[in-house]
Amino acid sequence: MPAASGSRRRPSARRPPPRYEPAATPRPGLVQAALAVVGVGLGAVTALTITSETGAQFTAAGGVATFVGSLTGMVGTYLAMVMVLLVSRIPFVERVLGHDGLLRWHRWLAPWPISLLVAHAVFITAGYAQAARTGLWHQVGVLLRQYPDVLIATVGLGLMCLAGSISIRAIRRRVRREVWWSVHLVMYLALGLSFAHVLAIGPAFVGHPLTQAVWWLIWMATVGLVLGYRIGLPVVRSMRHRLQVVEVRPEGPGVVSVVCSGQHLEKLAVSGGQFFCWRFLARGMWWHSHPYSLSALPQPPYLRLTVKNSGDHSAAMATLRPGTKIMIEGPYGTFTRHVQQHRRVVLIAAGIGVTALRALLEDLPRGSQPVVILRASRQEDLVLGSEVRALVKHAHGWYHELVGSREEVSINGRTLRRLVPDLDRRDVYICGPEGFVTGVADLVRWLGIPAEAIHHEAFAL
Amino acid sequence: MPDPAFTHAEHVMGTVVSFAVVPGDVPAGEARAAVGAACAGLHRVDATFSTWDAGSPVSRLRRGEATLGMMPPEVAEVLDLCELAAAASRGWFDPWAMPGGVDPTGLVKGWAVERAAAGLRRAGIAAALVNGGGDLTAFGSPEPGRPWRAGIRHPWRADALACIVEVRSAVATSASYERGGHLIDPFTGRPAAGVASATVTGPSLAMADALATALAVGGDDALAVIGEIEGYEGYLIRADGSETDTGDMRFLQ
Amino acid sequence: MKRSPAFIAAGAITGFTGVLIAHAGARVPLASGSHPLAGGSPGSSASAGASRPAAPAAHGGTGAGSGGPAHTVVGPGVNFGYGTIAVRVTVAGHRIVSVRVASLSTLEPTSQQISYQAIPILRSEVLSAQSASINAVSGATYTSEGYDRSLQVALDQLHA
Repeated sequence: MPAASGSRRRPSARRPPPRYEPAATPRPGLVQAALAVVGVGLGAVTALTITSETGAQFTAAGGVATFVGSLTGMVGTYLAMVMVLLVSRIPFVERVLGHDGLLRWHRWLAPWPISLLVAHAVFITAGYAQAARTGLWHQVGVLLRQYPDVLIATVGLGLMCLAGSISIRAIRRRVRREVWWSVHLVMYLALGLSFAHVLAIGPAFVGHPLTQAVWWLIWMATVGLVLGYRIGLPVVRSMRHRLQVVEVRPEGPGVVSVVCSGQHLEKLAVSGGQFFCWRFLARGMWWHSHPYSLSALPQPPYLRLTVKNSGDHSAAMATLRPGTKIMIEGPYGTFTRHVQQHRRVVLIAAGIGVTALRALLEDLPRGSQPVVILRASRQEDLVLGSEVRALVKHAHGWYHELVGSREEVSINGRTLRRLVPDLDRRDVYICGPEGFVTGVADLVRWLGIPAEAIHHEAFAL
Repeated sequence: MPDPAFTHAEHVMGTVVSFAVVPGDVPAGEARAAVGAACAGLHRVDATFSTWDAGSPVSRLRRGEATLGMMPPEVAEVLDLCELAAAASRGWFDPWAMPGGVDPTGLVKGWAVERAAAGLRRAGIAAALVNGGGDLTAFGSPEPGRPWRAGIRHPWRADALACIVEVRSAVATSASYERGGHLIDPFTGRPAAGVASATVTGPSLAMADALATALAVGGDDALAVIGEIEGYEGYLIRADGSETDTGDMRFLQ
Repeated sequence: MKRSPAFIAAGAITGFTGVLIAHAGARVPLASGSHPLAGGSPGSSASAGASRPAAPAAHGGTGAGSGGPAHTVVGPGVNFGYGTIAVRVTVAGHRIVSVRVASLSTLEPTSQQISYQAIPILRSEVLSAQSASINAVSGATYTSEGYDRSLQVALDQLHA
C-alpha cells in the first residue's frame, strides 16, 4: 500500500474519507451525574465529620479548634482527590468538558485544598495544645514525635506546598516544562503520605466504621480511576495500535508533517479537530509528552500530525527517524463538530492553527457550507492550503486567504461581515496562537454572536 | 477563707516543710519559737536518717558499718514502725526490699512531720497544719466548724488539683511524677508502673506515708488491703486517668 | 459546562442531609454527647445515671455535704471521640459530692493528651488553690525547686 515516494502518502483530499468507527459522542448527562456524585461525596464527608463530634468534645479545652481542624482536613483532602480526578483523563468526562476545560478547573480549584490542609495542620495543633495546656510549638514537637503517621503526613503536606508553589504562574514561567512536570508529579506522593494518619487518629474516624468505610471507598475509587485511565488506558492503547513514524515531510518554513502508521486505527474513534498527547520514544524525547492535533482524519493505517518548530521538542520532530515508536494518549479536545449548534460554520485559523482546522473540515457533516479564512504573515506560511482549498470546494464552501503583516491585513468587524454575511447563522471555529484566538473570539462576541456558537482551540506556542 | 495567723517554710530533708499555724491563745512570739523548735527537730532527723548523706547514721547502718545498737534511739523507733507498716500493708510497703539495704525513707518524713506537729500541739497552739513536702498532718480547726482542707495535686498538671479532701489528721501522697520511677515494687524488685498518684489518709502520718508508698507500688491490690485497715482510706489515680478509692475517703470536691 | 455548580451543590446538599438523617435515625438516646453531669443539676444527673447504669454501686459513704445519705452511681460509657469514659457520681441529698472517672478506654495507644482532654471535662476547671479554699497541697514529695513551682508555695506566701 505505501508507495516509495512520499507524495502518495499524503492523505487524499479528493474524496471524503470513509467513516470508520464513529467517534463517541459526548454525553453531558453522564458528566452531570458524575458532578452530582462528587457533590454527594462532599456533602457526606462534611456531615460525617459534624455528626461524629460530641458536645463533650466540642466544649472541652481545645474542642473548637480540633473540630475546625478535623473539618478542614476532611474537606481539604476530599478536594485534593477531586483535583487528582480532574486530570485523570477519564474519557467520558474529557469529551464533555474538554482537556482544556478540565485543566482550567484544576488550576482554579488548586489553592483550596492546599489552604484547607495547611489550616487543618494549624488548627489541630492549636486544639491539642489547648487541651494539653502546652505551648503551640511544644505541641508541634509532641505531635511529630509521638505519632509517626503524623510525621509522615507533615512531610507530605510540606511536599504538597512545595510542589504547589512551583505551579504559581510567576515561578512556572521560569522553569522548563519537564522540570515543572516532574515536581508536580510529587503531588501523588504527597497525597499518599497523608493516608495513614487520618484513619489512625482522625477524631471523626476513630471508632466510626462508617466514616472509615467511606474514606476507603473514596481512596480506592480515586486510585483505581487514576491507575486505569491515566496509566492503564494509554498503555493498552499504545500496545494495541503500535504506532511508529513512517515519514517526516517538510510542509513549509519550519513546519513538518509526521506521518505515522499503526494497527486498528479505526478504533481510535477520533473526531476532526482533536489532539493527542504524543510521546516519541527517541533519545532525548521519550520523557516528554506533548499535545499535537491531527492534521487529517486517520486513514488507516496512517495518521498525520503537522508541527511547527517553536521549541526544543517541536524542533526535534524534524529529526525523527522512520520506525521510531510512539505512545499516544487521547484523543482529547472539544474542538469538533459535536459542539456545532447551527447547520453552517465559519472556520478561522492563523499559522499552525490550520492543522486542527484541516482535520475538522474533513469531518464536517453535509450542508455545513463552510466559510474558511486562513491568516498568515507570508504566503509560504500557509501550510496545507491546497488541501484546505480542495476540501472547501468539495463542501461547496468559500475559501479566503488573508496574507500579510498585521499592519497590512487584519481581521476586523468589517472584514468579517464582508466575508461572512450570514455570520449570525453560523458556528464560529477559531484556531491558532492564543493571542489571535482571543482577539477573534472577542471580536465575534462583540458582533453579537452568542458564546455557545463560538468554539476555539488555542495553541500555546 | 481560712486564715492561719502565720505560715513558715523550712528547707530540710531535701524538700520544703510548710507550717500553717493558728496560735489561738498562745502569744505570737511563743508560737514562732515552737515552730523554730520543731524545725530544729526536723534537721536532727535529717542528719540521722538521710540516705543521701554517706556519713549519716542510717547510711552507715545500710552499709553495715554500724549496728542497730550504735544508732540513736529514733532509728529503732522508726524501724519498728516500718515493721508494723510492712505487716499492715501485707508487704506492699517493705523497706527491706530496697536495693542498698534497709531504707525507711518511705516512712521517715511522715514520722518526722508528725513529731513536729506533736511538738506544736504540746506548746498549746490551737490549730496547725504541717506539710512535709506533700505529706501533711494537722490538728484543730483553722476556723470554727471548718476542717483543714487539702488539695491533692493533679498528676499531670502541676498547677491543678485532682480533688480536695478533708484533713482528718494526716494525708500522704506518693507518686513518681516529681522524681520519676523511684518506687520499687517489692515483689518484682523493679520500678512500679501503672499508678499516677496514690493518697492515703488516716490518724498517723507515718503510717499514712508508708501506706501511700505501698499504694503507689501495689495499685488496686494494695488499695484493697488498705481498705481493710481501720481508720485509713486510700485514693488512687491510675496512669490512664481513671480513679478509685476505698469508699470512705473524705472528698470535699 | 453550564450549571455545573448547580449539580455539585445539589449533590452536596443531598449527601449532607442524607447523612444527617441516617445519623439521627441510628442514634440511641442518652448514649452520645451528654453525660450525667451537665450543669450538675442533681435530678437529671441522678436519673440519667440510674436509667442506664453500667455498674451501679451504692456506697453508704458519707459526703461532706448536707442532708441525706450519699449514694453513688456509675454512668454509662460516653464516647468522647477517642474512646469511652464512664463516670462515677456520688450524690448526697441534692448535692453532687464527687465525680470520679470510673473507667476510661481508648481506641488508640493512650497518650497523655487523651487524659488531659478527658479529666477536665468532668471537673470544674477552676479548681485552683484560691477558689477552692484549701490550706495545703498533698502530692509527691517535691524538691526545693519543685516547691517553688508548686501550689504550696503560693499558699505559704499568703500569710508568711
